[in-house]
Amino acid sequence: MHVDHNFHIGEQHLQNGMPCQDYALSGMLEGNIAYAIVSDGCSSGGKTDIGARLTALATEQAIRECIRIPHFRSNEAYMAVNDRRNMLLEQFRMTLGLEPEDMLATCLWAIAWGNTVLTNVTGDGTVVVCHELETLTHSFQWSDNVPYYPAYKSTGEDEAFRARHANTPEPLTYIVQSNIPGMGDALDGSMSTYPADVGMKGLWVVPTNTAPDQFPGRLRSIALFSDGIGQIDGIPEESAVQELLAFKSTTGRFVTRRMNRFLKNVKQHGSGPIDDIACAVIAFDPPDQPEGEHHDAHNQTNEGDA
Amino acid sequence: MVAPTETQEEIPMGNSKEIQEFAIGSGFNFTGADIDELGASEYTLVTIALDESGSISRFETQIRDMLITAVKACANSPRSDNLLIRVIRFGSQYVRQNGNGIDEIHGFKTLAEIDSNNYPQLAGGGLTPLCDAVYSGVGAMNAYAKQLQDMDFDVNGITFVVTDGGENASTATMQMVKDALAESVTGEVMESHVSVLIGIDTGYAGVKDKLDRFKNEAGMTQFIWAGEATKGKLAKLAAFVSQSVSSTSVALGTGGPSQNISATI
Repeated sequence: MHVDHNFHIGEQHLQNGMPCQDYALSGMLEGNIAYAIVSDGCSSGGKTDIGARLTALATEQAIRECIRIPHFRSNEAYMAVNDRRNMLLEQFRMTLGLEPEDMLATCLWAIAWGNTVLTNVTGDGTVVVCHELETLTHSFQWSDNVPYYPAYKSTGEDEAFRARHANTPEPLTYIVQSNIPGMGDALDGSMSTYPADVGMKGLWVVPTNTAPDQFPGRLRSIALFSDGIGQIDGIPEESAVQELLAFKSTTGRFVTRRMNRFLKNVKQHGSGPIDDIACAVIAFDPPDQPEGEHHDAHNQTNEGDA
Repeated sequence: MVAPTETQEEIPMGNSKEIQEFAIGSGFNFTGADIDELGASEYTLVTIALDESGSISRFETQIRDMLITAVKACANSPRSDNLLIRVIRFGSQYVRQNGNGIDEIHGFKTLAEIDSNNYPQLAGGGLTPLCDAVYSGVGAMNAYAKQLQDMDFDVNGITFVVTDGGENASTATMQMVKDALAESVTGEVMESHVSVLIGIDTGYAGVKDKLDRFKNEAGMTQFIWAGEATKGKLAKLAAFVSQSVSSTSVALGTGGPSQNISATI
């Protein structure tokens, strides 16, 4: 497996002299466990550039701790990552004397080992599951662009968040879209909505194994994007995803290279990313590579449960 | 379009990973690190070409020392991990070996893979294939940069050609040199490229003017007269090379060449 990540300031923040409020991390842990994390700070919050970084770092530390839990491959252990992240996040906030609004940042994380891949989304953003023959884009959006942030839990803001969405029974919209045309040449896809409490637990995207020779083919990569992927001047989200995942190689800083080239190209025809953009990727070796991990999957999402 | 021709065994210098061999054309070849194994997002390509014609005979050790010092000093660059360095020597004694006057000491390699203490002793002999040196230096850089660009790496480059004499023995024509240099600064194969012709005085009259004319005719970026090939002057030359490499590397991503390359040594 190969991992890399990249984040880039958007035009709005650049023009206004504000910092990039997106952040991303990736790495490999003992036991050949790969992880990828993306966090997007709230634009109307406080020092959420710091909040996004702390959220990502807290998640990284939580994953590092939780993989040591005996029988980690259980639903409870997976959920423990989010619980531990939230605890660490509050510890960081208190230690640094930060305000609750400084910590408002989304959190997308993915881990992969053996034949298992799982991804959790708290807030909004996009998870892309890229197979040999099909790419599935899983987008998570909250109504009124008011996503849930992990920091709400530890700062006692959950009730206020529910109240904010009181008039929308299912404020979380989850869209899955394939890159393959279905009936009538429209791209295959589906849309579901969820109550606030479901989204507040974090939603899972969990690829599961199928036979290697079956559609949609070998799993090539899992990519996490902040919602900036949908706000690139003149580039539809589907095109941006396809271009950003068209890696020429997966050695070293492969996400950075692709992101840099993509941004250079799009800036020739427009303003580039309007919002900050962050991306973290786990790429899987082809089967003929000795250290490769074999992943073939359909994708399913469940509600706060792996 | 240049394609890798074959993978060869480890070349003599340093602890190399996989090395690929590339063809530039007209019988000129070069080697470079396997691009699939490169991990950074951007690289500065550096070529140092050293004159090994007969007239440097009394200065072989000093020039080799200058090379070693310059390459070692590149480690002080803030972006030393992003350098890929190629070193060649030129003299007509290599014509029988390669069909041109170039001997590649090592192809494009990261600093970590270069053991400069193992650089070979120079042995002055033969005439001065200066066009071959510039064509090999810049042509190889163009070809390798294009391959890197195609793989999403950001690339710029700097070429140093150190000589004590004018062209008198090349396979490559001046037109080939001009074309390679012109291609290197189009912005299509690399973000920017600076080519520096460095003259050293080993006691032959008229060389300075001859090299200045060569620089202008070929279209090189800069000609620098380093003066007598004394230990002190060559030490300054080594510092100039490493500082120019450093500032070129720092300029990568700005869209243009470094503005901080000194006009004198």
